[in-house]
Amino acid sequence: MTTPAVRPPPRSYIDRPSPSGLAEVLELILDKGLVIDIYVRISLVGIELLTIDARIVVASVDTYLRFAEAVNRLDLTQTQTHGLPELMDDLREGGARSKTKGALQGAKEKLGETLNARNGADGAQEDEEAELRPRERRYRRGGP
Amino acid sequence: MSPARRPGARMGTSVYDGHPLPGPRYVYGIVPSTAPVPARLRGVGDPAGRVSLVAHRRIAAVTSGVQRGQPMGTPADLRAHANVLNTLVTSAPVLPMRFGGVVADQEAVVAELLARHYDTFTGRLDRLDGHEQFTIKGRYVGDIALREVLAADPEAMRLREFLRGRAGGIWRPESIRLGELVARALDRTKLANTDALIDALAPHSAAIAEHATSAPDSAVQAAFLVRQPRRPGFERAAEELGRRWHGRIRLRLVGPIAPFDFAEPPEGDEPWACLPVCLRFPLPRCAASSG
Repeated sequence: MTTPAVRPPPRSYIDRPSPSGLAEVLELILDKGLVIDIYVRISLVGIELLTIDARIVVASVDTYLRFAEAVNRLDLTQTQTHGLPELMDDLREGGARSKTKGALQGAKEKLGETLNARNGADGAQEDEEAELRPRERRYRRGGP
Repeated sequence: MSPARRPGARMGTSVYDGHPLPGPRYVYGIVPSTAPVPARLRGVGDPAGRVSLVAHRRIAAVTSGVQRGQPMGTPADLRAHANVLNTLVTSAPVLPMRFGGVVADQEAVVAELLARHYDTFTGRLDRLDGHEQFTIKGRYVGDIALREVLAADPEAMRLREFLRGRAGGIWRPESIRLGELVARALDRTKLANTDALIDALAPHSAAIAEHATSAPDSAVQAAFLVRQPRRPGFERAAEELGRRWHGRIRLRLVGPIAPFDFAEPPEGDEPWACLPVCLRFPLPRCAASSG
């Protein structure tokens, strides 16, 4: 880990986004909280999609190829950092879609489009983060 | 609490409106029945439902009305769900429910939700009292993670040079090998970064829930349950880490928010404070209250 010798000017080194932006909200509440399944007596259109989407897994070979592509594009003579965001876009947009598209994926895209379409109106920031990525939690256990 | 006690439970019902609420109830979470609900607080649905408590003894469900057949799960609904809970947690402990839970009617909220799980809910609310959640996410700045991986792995660098400008390019088998090396190295880097994040913030946290994320530019992500008096120390520690990682990992701190990651113990129905979720640094307070 390197610490820059010259201290840059920003007042804070961390961002404090509002928890009400769509990207943050998705991160916060998707798949979280108590489940009251036995109490749910009405099926609500749309909600199942969200739950399923969170568990979609991207095929690894596809991912590897995209990483290789990104590394190949990397210009090592340049010190400026760029390119990874493009890779991220590729990984989100293209990779999974091209080879692993299935019913779930289709549903996810549909939902993603809905979210994106609404999003402009909502003025939420950084919605590229709102993509529904595979999510799991692991809890740390005690001990060294 | 068994369903046999339902009549008694119904008698214990009190609703802030003063009159029974008609129709199915969307449930946001559980709070103490004394929790203040801002009159202007609006919930899910279009038009947005008015948020009100359905109480049973010491606890209450935070609810609003929904109409049958009304499409839900829109971005506005997601935001409303989070907003209701994040608002309430500023003045009372909150046990968040997962997005999308609807109970048949007000009576069922009392009998099937509150009365049946009364002891569980009161126990968890007591343990969450005085705590807030903060979520921290870190992303690599630009392509710095890829550069680090290449710099540290001669084989990856060699493969890259081999593939560059060669016919067939990305479709050669060497590409998969290179991508695999990079992906694995990134995973190791993320793990090390996550360890550093947790080491830095654990002394200020009551519990930690780590999020594994597959997003390639995501460096770290975890949720922290923080006792209110420890919040300044927690925020200072986060800021210090942000300074240390400046130019390499950009940190985002969201909170205070409702304890979405700590509503449920990882397994079983035990009080979470006694479970592994308490992690390496168990809360003295938890330890005291549980035993």
